[in-house]
Order: sequence, then structure tokens, then C-alpha cells
Amino acid sequence: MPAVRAPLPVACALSSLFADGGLPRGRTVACTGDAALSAALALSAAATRAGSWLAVVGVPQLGVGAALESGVAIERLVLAQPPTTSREWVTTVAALVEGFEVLVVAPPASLTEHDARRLQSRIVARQSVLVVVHVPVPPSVVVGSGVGHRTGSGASRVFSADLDVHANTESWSGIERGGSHITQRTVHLRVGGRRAPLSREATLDWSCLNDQPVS
Amino acid sequence: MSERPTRVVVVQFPHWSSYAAARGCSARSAFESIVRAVVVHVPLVEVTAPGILVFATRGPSRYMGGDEPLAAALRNAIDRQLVVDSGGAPDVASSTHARYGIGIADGRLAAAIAVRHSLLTGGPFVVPVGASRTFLSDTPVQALVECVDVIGAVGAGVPGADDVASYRDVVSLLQRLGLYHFGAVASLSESDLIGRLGAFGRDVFRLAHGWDRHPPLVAPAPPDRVCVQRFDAPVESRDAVLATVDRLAIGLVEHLSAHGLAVVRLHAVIESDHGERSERMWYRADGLSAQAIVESVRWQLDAWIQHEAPTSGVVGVRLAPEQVVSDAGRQSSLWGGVRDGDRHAQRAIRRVTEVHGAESVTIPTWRGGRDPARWFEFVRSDAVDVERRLAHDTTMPMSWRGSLPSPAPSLVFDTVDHAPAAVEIIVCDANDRPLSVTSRHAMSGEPASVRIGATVHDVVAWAGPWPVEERWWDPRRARRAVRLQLLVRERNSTVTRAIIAVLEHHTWRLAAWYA
Repeated sequence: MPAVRAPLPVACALSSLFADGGLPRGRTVACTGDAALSAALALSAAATRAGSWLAVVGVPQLGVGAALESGVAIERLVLAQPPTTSREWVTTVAALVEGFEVLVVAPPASLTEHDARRLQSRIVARQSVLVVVHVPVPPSVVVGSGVGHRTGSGASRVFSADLDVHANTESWSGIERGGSHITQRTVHLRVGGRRAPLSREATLDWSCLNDQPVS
Repeated sequence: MSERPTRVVVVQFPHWSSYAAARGCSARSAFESIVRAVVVHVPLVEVTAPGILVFATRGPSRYMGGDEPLAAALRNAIDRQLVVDSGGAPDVASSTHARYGIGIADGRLAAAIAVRHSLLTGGPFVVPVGASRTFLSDTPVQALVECVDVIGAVGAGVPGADDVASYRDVVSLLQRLGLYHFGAVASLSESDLIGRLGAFGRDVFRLAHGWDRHPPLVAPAPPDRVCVQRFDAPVESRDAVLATVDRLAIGLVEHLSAHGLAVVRLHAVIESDHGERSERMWYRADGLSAQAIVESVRWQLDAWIQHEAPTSGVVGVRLAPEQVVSDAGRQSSLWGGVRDGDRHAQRAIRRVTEVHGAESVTIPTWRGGRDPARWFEFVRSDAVDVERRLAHDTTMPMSWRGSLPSPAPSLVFDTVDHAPAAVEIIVCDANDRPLSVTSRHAMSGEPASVRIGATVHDVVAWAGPWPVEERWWDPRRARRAVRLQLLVRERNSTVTRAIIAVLEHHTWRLAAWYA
């Protein structure tokens, strides 16, 4: 067994969600809910500011503005578009694990459980963190190789996640029937799963997550 | 000053990447055959980028009997090679993407501008010896932007360069000062230009006089900066050679930057056990980083293996800086530094792109604008110098007048030019009639439902419509559209989602999703 290393840092507001105060290394985290992608970015942000590199795999339409707002150091952010066949996808992501401490992945529908396990064992060996997102876009929305290609729930379940993060928007404020615009998003987060016997919850204003002021 | 700039030849294919893409090759591997066709006449060429070759004319011109015969010989060689590469189809070789120019002049800038003339006339363009300054005096300063591929961004790598957002700003500043041509710039004194434009002023002054951006080296680089690695046994593995180059390059760049220097021209030699050699000159106006050196040598090594098939393993690698410049702008790496983690990440990116192509890993680069899908451009990983990117502060201006207010959507779909990424949706009013917006941005009703794919959502709240009018000054690229922010709820569901819809050319498209 590799030696246990300190968890990857997360923003202060999120640290109470994890037993060790951060993302445990070598683990697979599954993000679900309508705010899954935002949650995945928020969880990875503090680590990138501390020097870790972040690869976002299979989300070519990532809104980098959202990543920046959640505090991701985008000079250490890259996007990868591996082939969508199960074997090639895993080989490519496993190659990325060698250099990236955080990987946010939207797996292709073709991914098999066997290949998912192979990737998870690389994650354990390298002590990186794999964040699997279930991008909640209906499959009909995006054609081609985009996020809609994955059926989401099905594909993300081939991973046996150590932690489950469920992120749901509780309220949107600012927007009315015809006036203003969205100014605030309140998200309810629940972290549970087989490595977290006690599930922890928090309701957070999304704009307060970022420890670092956005200019 | 009696400074004489190097007389150089620039060969440039302005549309090389399109040409390579049309042939289904990567820009680098496609360009290799052109490089090889030229190397027959000129042993040591500098490959500035795929599609751009630069070399000093002195030796070759003397051998050929002058600049004109040299240019003609180059033209013949390249034309022949283009026909060979296209498999004998002359129409491919003469397609507009394969057009190229040959310019010969004193100094890189004049030669790069000569290329522009050459592209117009079709034949090589030679500026006579000593005439570069006169030639430049009638050239608009705008050429600094057009020739950036050859001369590098003005001011890049000089201290204080970060004060001005980009060289484009310098050019527009010069124009606002009434300095439209290099002749007008050259009539000013160097101290005035430096006083007004800082470090850029020095560059612009030098370029306007037909000199190169960097003063020629007074003395050759001391031999202790030449990095040589000899292997005890021939190395057969390409990765092992590159790992060595990686180590040498890091050592070289760190050694130089400790003295406030950066290498702009590097001579790289690889030798096999049987005495075969591959040598090439690499140039980058704003200094070669360790990553850039490894990328360059990788190109050189791949080409050597593919085209000359060396008969034994590699026994020696030599990296010799041919030109170094003082570079205080890079000193941040002294205390910031490139960490192991950064190197591991770069290595992982390289490994993936080698298998799946450079487009498989992309790096977001700030571009600005109002369209959230265009705030950032995703640039091929090999086109970005990660080290430079890390060394510079990358805080980006997030407030762009008229851009979407925070929070930003986490999924964005490009709606411009009917990109396939953005999906058509149907936005209806309470009477189930498609919602339209007048030219004065008044909606035909209140949005009540949105159909995305087969799913119908009820509209809970909305904001807008916000007009998007971009580039109204340019009739070809002008864009008129309206944007609507919508809170929608799927029927029989409790989840409320936020989306952005854009109406353009009477069609609503899904532009963003707050996932």
C-alpha cells in the first residue's frame, strides 16, 4: 500500500464536508445532481491553486469562466478529448493520471466496469483524485462527441465510487419574470458513500465558495 | 551606428496549417519535406514554425552567385517538392493554401515584409543590400502585427513588457500618435521612443532602422553554455534521447536565466554511432523555454528517424546556444520556478498528444468578448508554452462590458456560425406560439415553455432579452442576436435549471447550461 499522504486542499467552506478536511488522495468521487459539474470544479479549485494540475476529460463545452469563478487556477487546467471507445479512453486517461493530481471526467457510455477498475487502480497507485461527473444534460441536447454522448447515470455508475457528492441547486436568486438576472445560486451538497460512513451536508451560496476574491 | 543586420531569407507559407489539414497531415510532419528540399541548398536553416523557414544568405548566395539565383533555386526546389507531396496532382500543389512567398532582405522584419510583396507578385522579392531602411520607411507599422510569426511579438521577453497588453496595442498607439510608417518612427530619437513606449520603444526603434530586434552578439556564447551529452552505449529509444534533451534543456535554460539571459537561437545536433548527424537551428524571438527546446528537438529527431533512418543508436546530443539575449522579463522563474508537478503534467500531455494528436489536449486561453462560449479559446497544447504561461500572472479581466454577469455557466455551446455544438431549441409564449423579438428588442410575448430535444420545460423566470451586437462596423462579420437567461423546470419534476438561449436568424439555440 502506498503511504497515506495529506488530502488535497478544498475551499474552507467545503472542508467540513470531508472527514480529513480535504479530498482524500487515491479516491474516486462521483458527483451527481443538477449542479454536478459546478461542484466538481469547486472541489478541484483549491488544489490547482496549491500547484496541482487539473484535467477535465470529455467536457469540450466546459465554461472556463465558471471554472475561473470557482477559483480554479486555469494556468494549470487542460481539457482532454480522448477517443470514446472504452479501452482507448481508459488508456488515455491513465496516461494523464501520471501528471495530473485531479481529473474531472465525464466517462463515455461505452466504458466497461473492467476498464473503469483499471483506471481506479492507477488512481490509487498515483494517489491522485478522480472526480466522475454525471453531466445532467439530456442526451438529446448535444449530438456528436459532446457531453450528451454519455448517458451520464449509466456511464458514471461503472465506477465504484468511494465518495458520492450530490449537488442540487436549492434556489436561484436575482432572476424574476422579466427582470434582473441570476445573481446568486444556493446549492445543497451531500457527501456520502462507502468511504464516508456518516454523510455530511451543507447548503452554500456558490459565490462564497471561492476563498480567493475574483477581480 | 554602423550596425549591419544579418541578411536573411524568409520562406513563408501563410496558410500552411490549412494546407496540411487539407492533406490530412499534421502541420509539422507535412512541413518536414519542404525543409528537406531546402536543406539540399542551404545546410543550416532555422525552422521558426511549421510554414516558416529563415536562414542567413551569406554562404548560400555566394555559392549560387547572388540572392536572385538563390531565390530561384529555392523556388524550383519547393515547387518540385509540393508536386511530389501532392502525389503528382499539380492542382493540389498550386492550390491557394499552398501559396508561399520568398523574401530576401537585411534583417528579419524587412525580409518578412518582402515575403508579403512576394505573395502578391508571385515571384521572390529581393530588397537590395543596404536598402532595408528605405524599403521599410514606406511600410505601415501595421506590418508588426502581420509579421508577428516571423519576428515574434514586439516587446515580448523584455522587462516591463507586461505593462502593455499586447503588441497590437503598441501598433495602435503608434498610429494614434500619427506614426503610420516606419519612416516616421525612424525619424524619432531612440530615447524619445523609449521614454514614450518603454521597452517596446527600443524594439520598434531597432526594427524601424532595419536592424534586428536583438543586437547581434558581440562575442560568441562562452563554451560553458554548450550542453553535450555523450552516451556510453548507443541509445535506441527515442524517449530516452528526449528525456536526456529534457534534462539538458532544463539545465541550460536555468543556467542562462540565472545570468539574466535567454537563448533565442539554438543549434541542436544529434549524432548516431555510425557518424550520421542531424543538425538544425531553432529560433524563437522571445526566447526558447526548456519545453520549446524539447519540442524542437523532438521534431528534429522524428524527422531524422523517418527520412534518413539512421542505422544505429544515438551516441551524442549537443545543444549550443548560438544567440543569447538579456532577458530580465523571465527572471520570475528564478523564484517562481517550474516545479516537478508542472514537468510531470507536461510530460503526460506530451504522451497523450503523441498518440492521439495535438488537438486531443487543449489549453484554455483568454480571449474576451461577450459570448460566454468565446471567452476562452481552446488552443492545441503544442501551441502553448506552458512554462511561460505559468511564469506570467494569468489573472484575466472578467468584466467585459455587456458580457454575462456572474455566476458564469459551466457548460457553454458555441452559437456563432451555426456551429454544430449549439442545439436548436423552441421557445414559446403562453399561447404556444414561437417567441420572437423585434428589432427594437421587444418580445412578442412572455416566454412560457422551452422544448429541448423531446423534453418540454416550463419557464419559471427569465431575464433579458439582452441584445448582442458585435462587430457592427464590419458588414461581413457583424452579428445581431438576443440572449435570454431562463429558469426552466421539466414538467413533473422539482429540479429547476438555468439556461441561456440565443435568438439569431429567427432560430433559438441553447447557448449555455448552468450544470
